[in-house]
Amino acid sequence: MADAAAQAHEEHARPGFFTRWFMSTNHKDIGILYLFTSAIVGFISILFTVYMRMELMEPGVQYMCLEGASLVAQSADACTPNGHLWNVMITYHGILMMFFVVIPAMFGGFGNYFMPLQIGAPDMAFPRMNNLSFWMYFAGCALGIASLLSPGGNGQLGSGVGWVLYAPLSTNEAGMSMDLAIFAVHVSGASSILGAINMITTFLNMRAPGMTLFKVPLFAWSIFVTAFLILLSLPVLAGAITMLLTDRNFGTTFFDPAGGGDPVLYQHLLWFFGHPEVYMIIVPGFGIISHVIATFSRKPIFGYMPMVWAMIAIGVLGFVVWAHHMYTVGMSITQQSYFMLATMVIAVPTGVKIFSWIATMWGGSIEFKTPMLWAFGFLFLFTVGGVTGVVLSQAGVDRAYHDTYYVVAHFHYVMSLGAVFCIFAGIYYWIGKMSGRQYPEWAGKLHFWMMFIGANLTFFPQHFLGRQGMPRRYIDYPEAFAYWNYISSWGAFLSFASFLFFIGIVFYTLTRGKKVEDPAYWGESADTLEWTLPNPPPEHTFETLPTQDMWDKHPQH
Amino acid sequence: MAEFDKDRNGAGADASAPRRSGDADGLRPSDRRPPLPATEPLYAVTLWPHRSLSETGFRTLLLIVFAGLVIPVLPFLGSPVALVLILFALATLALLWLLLRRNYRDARLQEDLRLWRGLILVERREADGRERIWHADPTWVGLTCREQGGPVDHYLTLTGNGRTIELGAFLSPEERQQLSEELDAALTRARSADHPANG
Repeated sequence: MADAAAQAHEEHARPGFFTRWFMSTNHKDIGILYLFTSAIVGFISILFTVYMRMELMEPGVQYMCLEGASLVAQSADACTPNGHLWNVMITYHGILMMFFVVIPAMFGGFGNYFMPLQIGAPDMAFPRMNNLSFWMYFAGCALGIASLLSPGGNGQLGSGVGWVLYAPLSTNEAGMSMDLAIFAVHVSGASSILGAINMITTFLNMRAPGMTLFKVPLFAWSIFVTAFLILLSLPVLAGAITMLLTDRNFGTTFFDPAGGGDPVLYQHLLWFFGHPEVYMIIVPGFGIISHVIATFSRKPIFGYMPMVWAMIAIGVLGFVVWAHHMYTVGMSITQQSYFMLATMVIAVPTGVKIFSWIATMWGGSIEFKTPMLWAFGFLFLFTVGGVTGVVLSQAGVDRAYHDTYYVVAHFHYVMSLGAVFCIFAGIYYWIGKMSGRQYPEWAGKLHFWMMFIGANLTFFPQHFLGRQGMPRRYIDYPEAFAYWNYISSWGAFLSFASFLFFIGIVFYTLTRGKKVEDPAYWGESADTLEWTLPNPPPEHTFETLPTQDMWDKHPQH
Repeated sequence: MAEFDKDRNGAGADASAPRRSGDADGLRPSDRRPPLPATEPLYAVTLWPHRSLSETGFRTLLLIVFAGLVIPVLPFLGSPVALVLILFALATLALLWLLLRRNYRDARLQEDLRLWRGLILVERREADGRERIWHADPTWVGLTCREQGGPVDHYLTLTGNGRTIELGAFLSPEERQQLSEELDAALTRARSADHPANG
């Protein structure tokens, strides 16, 4: 029998620095660890892009020389182009951004921190496994960086095979760098699967009493949908890269035609994971944007049910369109027609979401605080990226655009401008909640405008380059493409400056920002459960489960 | 959460209690199940911690995940590629199943309270399956509901037969308050001498 405890448990002694951050089982601390780690990896990955845009600023090769990579422009006779270095840059920019920056920031960071709070759970279902997930992700990052710095193809460091690791390029790449990259993806994949199971269990089993599935806030729903995408697609990726590994090291021929294998099979497996992957990147963003727009329009979100079902539909459709990434591998007309049609259908649920956001703002009293600016930016730019997506979905048109800068512009519009804007919206929306201090409003706005102009200047001209026929993944280009490349590079530098400024804002906010006392500092239209807690929330939250009146503000849905 | 749950349920504060009701060394008179009266109890209640996923929901979830994992494997049946894919798909499915089961097990905790004239009996099943029993004579039982200052708000305890036990520490404060009122009324009924059955 549980004999009664004599009195209240004494307050735990505050854990020391090492215990708190290295052995943490607290979902809020782990969320913060995810956010900071992904920011550091993101910074490395951004440095690569700046170096690439420096190289592409002028025709000819000035910086990435075989004589040594330099930060000062070299003359043509002093510089032999180093294509391997270029390939390494694009590869690690892609791998780091796809696996180690955006998903960990949104799913691991915001997901860990706010999903349990929004459903009123005291913590994640498996707190120790949560800690394991984070440190596996951290180990994955370390392996990724190690891969960059270890002997690879062409007698140089790193692998230059592209983030998709296509066979036979990846099976023939020399050195151990490629193997380390495969391990990095393996470890981070295992981390994501554990994380996904944790999220699913928490979401399904630990909702506050009375909170049925269709009363759960949209951000928590978006994390749940993302967890499903991870759970169903990452095992396929794990299988595919395991076969790469055995092809490389144990003489199997899964992807080698000489032994009866098929390199296109690798592409199918990769993209069966890869297309859901891009939705894992954007769906948590949908959740964040829904809350931001509702908060700053002072209205509940328009069409809650369609919003939820649209996310589910996008998730399901994400699994049946993968081959639109590979129209040119030699599929039958019927197959191409199917993938084309299925791809265009995705515009329907996405449209439902976009129009519901607009309808939320309709007649609302809109306030242009920084998070709302980012949400606006997202809405506009994601729509632009979506429109070029519909263009690219046409198998015939794709023949012309395949592997051109048009594709680069498209996917950076949906991911760099879509997902990254969501992350910034989330940071400005919640930083006061997480740190107890508020950012200076003017600085947030300046950051937004710098990034908005910079990112558009970078990527919009790339549509023109693509239409002119400039292929992607090359270190150099003919004179004819010089004009827009020059402008695009300036855009990249401006975006980079805005990111440095952002680091300054975060540093200032955490150390000297104005303290925010009001739990719901964005006003009463921010009505999910995290806004009932102090800033920052105490170590333990919702030990006593929240009651329905605390969260059920709009009983109509 | 496991640790935290234990604390919340008060099991952590229960160092003096026997590990199992059958432990010879830790056995106290109130740990043995007394002979039960033949009549219907005056008051009976079963308490368990909140869980939002039903058994049906659990089966539906596993079915959806199973289907989702099997579909990409189907085209490769008969080739060695299928083996690799099945390996990872099965590992994922098994992990999900085990962890969900584990999550349910943490919530298997249950408290049964039954009250007759002359006997109050509380049987508690721990998450790991251990059964613990307390019983006393309702005449001498003290019911306390401490609004503040306990491990949880409206901390509910029963004292009798030389022990003080907690009741429904895993419930919400409102639920505990309601339980306290119901139980108080039931105890009064059980003690009342003018009841016909009291003879």
